[in-house]
Amino acid sequence: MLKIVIVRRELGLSKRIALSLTSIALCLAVSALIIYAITGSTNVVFAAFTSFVDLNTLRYLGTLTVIALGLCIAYRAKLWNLGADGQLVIGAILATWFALYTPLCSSSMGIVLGLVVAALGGMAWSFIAIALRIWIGVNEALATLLLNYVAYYLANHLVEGPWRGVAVHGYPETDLIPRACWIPCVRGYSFSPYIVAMALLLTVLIHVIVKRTRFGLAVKALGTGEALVELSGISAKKVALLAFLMSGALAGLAGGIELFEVQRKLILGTKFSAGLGFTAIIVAWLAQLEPLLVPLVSYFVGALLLMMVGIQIAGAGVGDAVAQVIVGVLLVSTLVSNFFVNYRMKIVKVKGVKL
Amino acid sequence: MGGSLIELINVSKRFPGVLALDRVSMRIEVSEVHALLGENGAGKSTLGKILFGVYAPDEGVIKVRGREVRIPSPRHAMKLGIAMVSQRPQLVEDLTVWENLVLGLGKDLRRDLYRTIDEVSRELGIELDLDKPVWSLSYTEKQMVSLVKSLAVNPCLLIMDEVTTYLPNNVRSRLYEFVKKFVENGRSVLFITHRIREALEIADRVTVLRKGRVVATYNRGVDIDSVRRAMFGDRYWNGFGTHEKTVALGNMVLTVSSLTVLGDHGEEKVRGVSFDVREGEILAITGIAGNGQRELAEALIGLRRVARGRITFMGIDITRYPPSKRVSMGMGFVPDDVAKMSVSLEMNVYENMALRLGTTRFDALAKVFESYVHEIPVYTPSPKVPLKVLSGGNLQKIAIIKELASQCKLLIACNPTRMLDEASAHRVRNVLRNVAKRGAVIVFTEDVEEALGLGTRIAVMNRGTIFGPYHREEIDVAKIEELMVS
Repeated sequence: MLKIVIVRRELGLSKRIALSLTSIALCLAVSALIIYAITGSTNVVFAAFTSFVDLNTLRYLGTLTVIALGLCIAYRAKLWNLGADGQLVIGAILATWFALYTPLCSSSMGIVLGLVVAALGGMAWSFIAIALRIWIGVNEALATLLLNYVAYYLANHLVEGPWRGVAVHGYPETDLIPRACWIPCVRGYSFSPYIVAMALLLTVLIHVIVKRTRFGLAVKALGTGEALVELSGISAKKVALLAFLMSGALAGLAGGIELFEVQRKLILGTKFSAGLGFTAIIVAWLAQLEPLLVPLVSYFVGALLLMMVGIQIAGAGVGDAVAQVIVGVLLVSTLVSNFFVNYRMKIVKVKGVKL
Repeated sequence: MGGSLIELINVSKRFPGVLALDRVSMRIEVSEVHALLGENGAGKSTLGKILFGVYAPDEGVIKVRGREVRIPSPRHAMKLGIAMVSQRPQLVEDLTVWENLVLGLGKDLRRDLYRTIDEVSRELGIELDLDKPVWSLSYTEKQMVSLVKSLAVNPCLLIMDEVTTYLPNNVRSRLYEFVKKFVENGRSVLFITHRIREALEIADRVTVLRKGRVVATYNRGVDIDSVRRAMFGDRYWNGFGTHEKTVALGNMVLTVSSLTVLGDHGEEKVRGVSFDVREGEILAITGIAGNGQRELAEALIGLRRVARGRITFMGIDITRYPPSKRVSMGMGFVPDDVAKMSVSLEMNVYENMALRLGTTRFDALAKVFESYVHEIPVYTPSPKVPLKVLSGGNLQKIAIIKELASQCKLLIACNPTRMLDEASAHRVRNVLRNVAKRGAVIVFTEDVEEALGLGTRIAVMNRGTIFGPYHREEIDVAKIEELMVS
């Protein structure tokens, strides 16, 4: 009798990376075949895959990295922040208020100050959920998830009501924010080198915090249990609070970035976030909660997001649904290959076992 | 006895960086209790897990009733008639007792289940409520459920891996009787333990493992000294060590007055307990498990709320302080269940040390760790592997080392030698005596002899109240045992 068994394996770092890269390459080959099968045109295949070498992907790298880094911290503590999308929107709302309704924008540190305000907004929004969790015991996954909708509707209310722009012909959006608040993009592209640099710096910073500080170890220990943290002489409540607020602040910061670098006005909540807060959850897990892997995965996932647009533009008749199917297949196969980095499948012959 | 049931021939198993089993050959006869004895990390559990299909051997042959077999999974093991009960009951906490029992059990086997439950309840003297969810059971009850579960598949070989570690004495001795009866009609038991006395009491034959090798196999009636020598080699020792005659008492460290603490189900588990501890003292608190020791220990460190009464540490009222604050004031705690509360299995030795000591200079931590490993040997493939690959005894040693390195003023240790072999336990006791030289120690132990050998004062807990503390000269084993059950 033949039987398939799954065995856990520990591979060296170089082998893991090699295996990951090989599997990603395989995934891409398979999805190329799928795109070709659906559209029957090699042009679409090429158009789709240019997203991997398109510098516009860096726009997603910036935003996704910033959010996913925060999620890495919270998830290491087994605190389920599913509200990055809402925290991002709140960050953007506060950044919009800062840009449109305060004169601080034109000051020399205006943009930095605006980003700080955005981060504080996201932080405050995440505070609601973690406070409910710590002091009343409300499940933080549900609280953050539901607070997303509150954030969307708050943004919707603002752009349809008090903040609706005077020059937008009745569309539900604010006026453009003053030029002084624009983070300049590279000419011809939609990303800013400053944001990319900031994302990479934050990556190193979060890596050091997670791996090299007592707080980072306490965050991981909190995943094992509160008693372990407490018995180490560290307040478990403080660790949980700080880890969660950091994830909220980074999501809020991403909202500020989206506003200053990409959107430059506040629009309807779900349209503004475009689900980036949820995509970042995928990024964090694909990176196995390792901060240093987050930018790489962000680039990969960012390229997929860009690919969806690319496929639709290049292939006549290829709608949003088809694009989503292709990207979905790619993500799933990446997850499967991730599994094979950690596990091995073995076919064993079972000798006649007496039943 | 009639012929061999299980035979292992030159079985080896290698884990990254360590040879856990080195060409082990042994034979388990039909109708025998075969004890597998060895110090912590000798490879006992690995051998049990290989027979139960958890690990595959790297080399060697396993024969069941003379036929060569492969055991790729516990399912196959059970089909071959091999079942296992381990130290930690493997049950689904959210399901009821009954649901846990029938989970994965074939329909044909369910018919006999009631009979097995009855039999085990009668033999061990414990009633099981089948509709209770497992999380609400005590450890002993959980262990009983997993025993019934393994018996339900009608095994011809039952592997028991350190099952008595957490059991109270009365249940333990009933379990011995149960095991002896179990093998009467053609079935066998492989009884894995680090306790020599236990092995000698229960087993027809004893195989001693040391560092992954079979050192010797003895028949019933062997003297304890030869077994000790086989188990520990040159590091052989005897006794509980001696005390310095006089203890210089220093300042008051801890005062507990009229402390009442509630248990998990709101009942009074500790009732108006008062005592104090001074510098230089080791207060040993003994008693039968479940008489409020765990609740008292947890209240002292702050893991459990105090219902009434007061705890004062170094002159400060800490009754309402969280554990973290007490720890940073200089208290240290070694819990019963180190794997859940004291160490993170996902982190390595140094990271665990860093968490407790607050420095992340890993080279310095390595030096600190090395200095303690001299006193309490820890067997790790490398200090950089995550702790989940280590045996329970080694985890306990690491938990103790962490607290020692923190230079705490008061160390509260719950059964700190329970998972340890005699030699390691002896070293840990010596280390605790050293801690008392610069501070104070409270040891909770169910081992009366340990309490007497270690404590400068001894208290006995019985149904939530405390007798004593008595000075060592005022009390003896007989008196303690009387107080334990009075």
